Amino acid sequence: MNALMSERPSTSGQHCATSAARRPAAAPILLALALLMSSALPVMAQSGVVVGRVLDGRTQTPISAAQITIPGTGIGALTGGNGNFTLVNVPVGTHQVRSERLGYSTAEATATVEAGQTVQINLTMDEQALALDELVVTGAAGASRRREVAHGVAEVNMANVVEPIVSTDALLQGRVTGLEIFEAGGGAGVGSRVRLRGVMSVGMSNRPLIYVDGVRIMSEPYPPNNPPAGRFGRGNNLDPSPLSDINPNDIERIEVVKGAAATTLYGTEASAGVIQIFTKRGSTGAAVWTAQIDQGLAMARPWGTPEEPYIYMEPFLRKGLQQNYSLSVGGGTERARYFVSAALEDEEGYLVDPRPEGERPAHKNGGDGLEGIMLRANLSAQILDDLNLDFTSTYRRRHIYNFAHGNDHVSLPQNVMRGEYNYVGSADPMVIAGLLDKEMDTWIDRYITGITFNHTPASGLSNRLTIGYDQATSEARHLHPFGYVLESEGQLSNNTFRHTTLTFDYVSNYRRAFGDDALVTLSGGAQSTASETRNLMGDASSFPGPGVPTLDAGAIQLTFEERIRVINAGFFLQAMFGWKDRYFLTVGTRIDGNSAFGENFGLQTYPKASFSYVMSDEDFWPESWGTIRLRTAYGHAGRAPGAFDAVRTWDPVGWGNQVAFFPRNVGNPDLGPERTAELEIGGEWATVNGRLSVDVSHYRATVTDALFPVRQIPSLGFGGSQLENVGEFKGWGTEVSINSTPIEDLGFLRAWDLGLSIATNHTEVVEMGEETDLGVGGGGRIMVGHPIPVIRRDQILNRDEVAAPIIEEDVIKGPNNPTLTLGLSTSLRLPAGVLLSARGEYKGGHYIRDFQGASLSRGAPMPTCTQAHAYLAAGQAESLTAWERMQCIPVNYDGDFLWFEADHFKLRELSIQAPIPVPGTNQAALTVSARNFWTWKKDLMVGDPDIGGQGGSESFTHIMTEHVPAPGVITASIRVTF
Amino acid sequence: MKHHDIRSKRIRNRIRACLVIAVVSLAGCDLTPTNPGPVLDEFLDDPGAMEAIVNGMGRAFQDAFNYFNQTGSAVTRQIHTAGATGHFGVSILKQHGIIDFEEADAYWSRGSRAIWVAEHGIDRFERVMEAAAFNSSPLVAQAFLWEGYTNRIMGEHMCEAVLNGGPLEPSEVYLQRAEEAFSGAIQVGGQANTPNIVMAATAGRASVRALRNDWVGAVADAGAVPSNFVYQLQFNRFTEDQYNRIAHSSKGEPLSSLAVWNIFYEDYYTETGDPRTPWDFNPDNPVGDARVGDVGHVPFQFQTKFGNPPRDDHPANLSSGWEMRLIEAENMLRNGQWGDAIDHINVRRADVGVDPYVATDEEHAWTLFWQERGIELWIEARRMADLRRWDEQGLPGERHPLETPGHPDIQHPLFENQSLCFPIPDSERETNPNVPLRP
Repeated sequence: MNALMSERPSTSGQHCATSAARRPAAAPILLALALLMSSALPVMAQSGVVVGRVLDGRTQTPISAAQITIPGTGIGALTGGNGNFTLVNVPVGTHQVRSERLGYSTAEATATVEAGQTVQINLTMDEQALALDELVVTGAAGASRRREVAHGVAEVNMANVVEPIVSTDALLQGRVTGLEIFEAGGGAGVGSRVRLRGVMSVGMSNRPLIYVDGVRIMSEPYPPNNPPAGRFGRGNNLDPSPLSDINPNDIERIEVVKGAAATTLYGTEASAGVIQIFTKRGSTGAAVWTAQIDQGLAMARPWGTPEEPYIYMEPFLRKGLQQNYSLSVGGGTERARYFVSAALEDEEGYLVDPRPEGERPAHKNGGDGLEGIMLRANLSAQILDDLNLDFTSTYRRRHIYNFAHGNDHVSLPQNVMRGEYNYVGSADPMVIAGLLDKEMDTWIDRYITGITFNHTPASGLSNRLTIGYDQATSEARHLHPFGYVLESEGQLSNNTFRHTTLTFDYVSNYRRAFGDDALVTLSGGAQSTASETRNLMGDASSFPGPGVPTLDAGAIQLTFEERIRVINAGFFLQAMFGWKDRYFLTVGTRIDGNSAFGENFGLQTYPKASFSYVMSDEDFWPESWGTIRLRTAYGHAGRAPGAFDAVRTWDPVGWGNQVAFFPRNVGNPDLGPERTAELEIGGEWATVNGRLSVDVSHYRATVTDALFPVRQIPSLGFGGSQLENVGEFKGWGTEVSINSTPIEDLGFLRAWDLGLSIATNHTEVVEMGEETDLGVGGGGRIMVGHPIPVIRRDQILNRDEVAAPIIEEDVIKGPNNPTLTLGLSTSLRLPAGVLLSARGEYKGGHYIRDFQGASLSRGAPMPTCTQAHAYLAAGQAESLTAWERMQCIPVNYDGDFLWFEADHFKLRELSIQAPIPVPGTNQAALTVSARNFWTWKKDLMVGDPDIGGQGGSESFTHIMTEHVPAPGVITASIRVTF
Repeated sequence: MKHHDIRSKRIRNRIRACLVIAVVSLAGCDLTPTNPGPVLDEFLDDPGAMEAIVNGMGRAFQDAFNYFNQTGSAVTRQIHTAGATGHFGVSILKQHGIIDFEEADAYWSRGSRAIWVAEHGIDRFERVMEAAAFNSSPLVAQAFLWEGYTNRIMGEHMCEAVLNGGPLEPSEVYLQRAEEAFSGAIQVGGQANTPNIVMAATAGRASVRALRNDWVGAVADAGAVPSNFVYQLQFNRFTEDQYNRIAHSSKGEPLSSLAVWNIFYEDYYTETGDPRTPWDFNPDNPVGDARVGDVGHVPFQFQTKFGNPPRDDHPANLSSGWEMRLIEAENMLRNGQWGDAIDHINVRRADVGVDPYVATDEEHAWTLFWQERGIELWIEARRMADLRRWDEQGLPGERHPLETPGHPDIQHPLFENQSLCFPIPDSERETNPNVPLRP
């Protein structure tokens, strides 16, 4: 009944006795060994040894920590990190060898043992479609069995991932229903826009919180490599993702909880959901080494028109070599386990400077790219009988070389796409390449460490304390060298960014059974998170001459500094009542304070209640119908305002060499967090012997006291906007995940797996104070009765007709964020362990603006207007379509007509994996995969709907600017375990 | 065994003690961190903050001036787009002389901020200073001067006025407040012994009185300002929003977005060499940085009034003695003394070494007068108000073909419904309950 209890070391006294027995001098030990061996000899003569390996049935990867037993004999062992096991003293005869592990269906194999012989068997375990006794952590007060946790917890298990993973962002893409990952650009190191259940905040971040092994880490992106505001150049680059700092090969699994019903215990900052990454910790047994070599080619995939698939960018494209090497070792004893890894990445992007070597700067072989290392050391130790610790630490260093992108004077894509009407006045690639003398380097250093103590002083009582520290630093250097084509005197900016997060998390659980049926778990805990951002930026321009300058070389020097510290602290209480191990009622509350709240604002209380019902455990439920669980959860979570939002402040801005104050923020002493209340109803069902599983969730969320950037009346001086808790909106959606194995053991086909996920997400503004219609930049609007944000633009009703345009004004087109996301996955398990797999993703129901605007308004030769420009040159304006008349004649240009239905499908991954014989290894496999190789677009004329806007991946309104799309990558990977 | 138990217990206790210490120390964190950077409003009451507040007024005015000057100059065809529509560029509609409600917020918000910063600052000084100190403070005098210029530029450019969240009013109220502020600068500047501020305020008040048709007052003020007096707005090279925008747009690197092409001043300069309207051409950078309508590339003939090559930190005139002479000349024209007016104007033309005007009649004299206003005050954010009052008051004179809406000689059309003021934008109309939504 109690998996928690059974997972703990059952009898610590044994270990103590063993320890004590080791202390006597060597002679008695030898004597004892001799006695032991002599007594064992007769046994060995009548017994044999069973050795073997346990593999995942789908991916053929080893399964560690599986319990191997021969029922009725008392013989057993655990598999090591390589999936291997050894059973000794097995009596002669035929035995059923059983393998069990949480999350997997039990597997059995027959072993016929002969005296003194070793017999080899292999076991294959299939992941359980619905593992109700599996432990989940995220959103629960400590580790709880899935059956007890009434909110949906999505899980990505690395054991199920076939293809080589280029980043953690990419790993999550299309694998979690309701999680959207937009790869914001194709430049090296560019991050992603991450959303769980869409956009639920207008005024604050919509990025989920991220935890690694219980340690809260920075979840917002690094600052983009731009000069400071007000200096030349802007929006050159998109922001690197903090998720990319986690080596995907170190990950064991990821838990994702999506809404306030699940994140209540995380409190004020968690309404956008939580992603928790668990890294590998090594398995008991001998050291298991894993080496992986990935060799890939990154290349551009078309994002233009059929006639101009790359919109004139061909001279700047290459096939970039991407190399990744990783080595890890894990192992340990029953008292201590370890996992240590190192990885090296050396990746070229697909953009290149076409000038000959020697004439171009020494970027990454003339192009963009990145280099980096990732190190990890994890340790788990039973330091006392009732106390164990888990230590986690990772370090990553990365150097990213970029070209300028986006809507900027020196942007490569923009200047190429505009042809002769660009900032260098020439379409000649060699002239445009002069812009690439710009050097953009970003160095990232990330260190995450944490230690968790688990203390179990008495049966049923457990305490967990996690202390974590995350330090994310980046240095972004941006140089226009002396003599640069658009800034001959030169310019240099350097932004040193440091973000630290100190986590303190204490949770206590008391679990007690009353009789056979009743179970109560009382939980309490306190958490605090202190985050600090320090941003120091220097900018210098007008250098005295050539050379590699530093900031002090400029005649004009500027510095900017930002230091923001935010503290969130609170505690929670929770009680879970179980009955017959199938009914589970949980109630709880969290109370939080946050340093960003206004002075008139006190602590915040977030309640929760949930109910889980394992209906298939009822007597009336036929076993043949499988396993079913129903659940409902209701909870609140919040989102805090920014550090300075509550107070009226002025900026010390300077005016030339003089001091000056400028109004910054109106202030609002009543400012508090916005609050999301969510009701989630769902269930999971696994049937047909686990060959079909369905997971359904429906949620309805209401955000009250929503933080809206309320526009101030410009004539009152402060202008801009002030956050106020004036809004209310609602969100709802349904998430369905279906996994099936339609065919099993049919001829040569071992199995055909098919997966489908469906996620809908809708939002509606209910109330927005005195506002009724608010522009939020990029063309998005917040309007009562409409989605967040909604697109309202003029529309050409006869877009493709050769006729004068018929224009309807102020049409509500629809949402800017997808309302329907479909994930499709399939795999074929073939003989000899060969596995073919494919994954695709459809997003739709939303509108996005393509990036042609600034080019069309200047009459640049965009391929969408090639025909129109020819007609115009021939004096045949009457031959233009209605759309061409509005967009290809600059005087008529109107950005309203560049909004398109963004429905699209992407083939995210296509892979084949096969085991290869490598002498001296436990296992070796070759995987070849292709990523992002095919895209279908419903309506979009040019561009890739993942591309981000000028504001980086976190732009509230998703529009495209002049970036290139994420690359298509073909990778061959060899993974060897020994 | 017993010894082992004692040792284990001791270790356990130590570990637990460490955990308790960790918990207590972390739980004892200060939950109210002080973040440096932005300055709390109450700190500005400190007398030491006064200079920075006044400089903030100057910077706010400079920001507003920059935007009105660049766009106003393009809309009134004192300068021509070389193609760019976004950053430091001119939107398509404005290239054709139209200022739409949707495109007016950048100007309105900057102008409103400048007014509020100046007036709020003066109110603060009045509240925290002794009356005698207030009335003789050079900084207060400077604050009044910024308030005057800010209100003047708003009065010259906005179609209507809205103050402090109030209702729509005629733009005249800005000019009225400008006059009061200039008077304040004259009064306080006099007691503070800041003659330059007094002279600038006097010149500023003359210009405002002229706009308000107070010709007696205008001429009286103008007469007090010598011809060689100049009061300039300083720019600097630190950040883009402190650059002289027209200069930066004409620099050629990175921007070649404004040109002296297809406008009156192009030929006027080549024909006369008048140093008040200079431009140049660099064959190494022959064309503007984007296509201009159906024309394609335009020759990048860049203004050099703000330096050659143009300098981001080149100052711009806010008031000058020669402007005063034009006020006096206009007063003569209004009094029918058109010959005297032309003679008065020709003094300046002789000063800069160009041929004198010869007027054939009163209508022609008015035409030359308007032309001279354009030349003297070229790209100084003054032309829009001139064209507006010329039009609204039905004053005599004829516009040059290249600044006449709909004229066929213009290569990149100037639309018939050319805007001569900036509308109150949606940003004010949608937030201020006292102002109706756009018509």
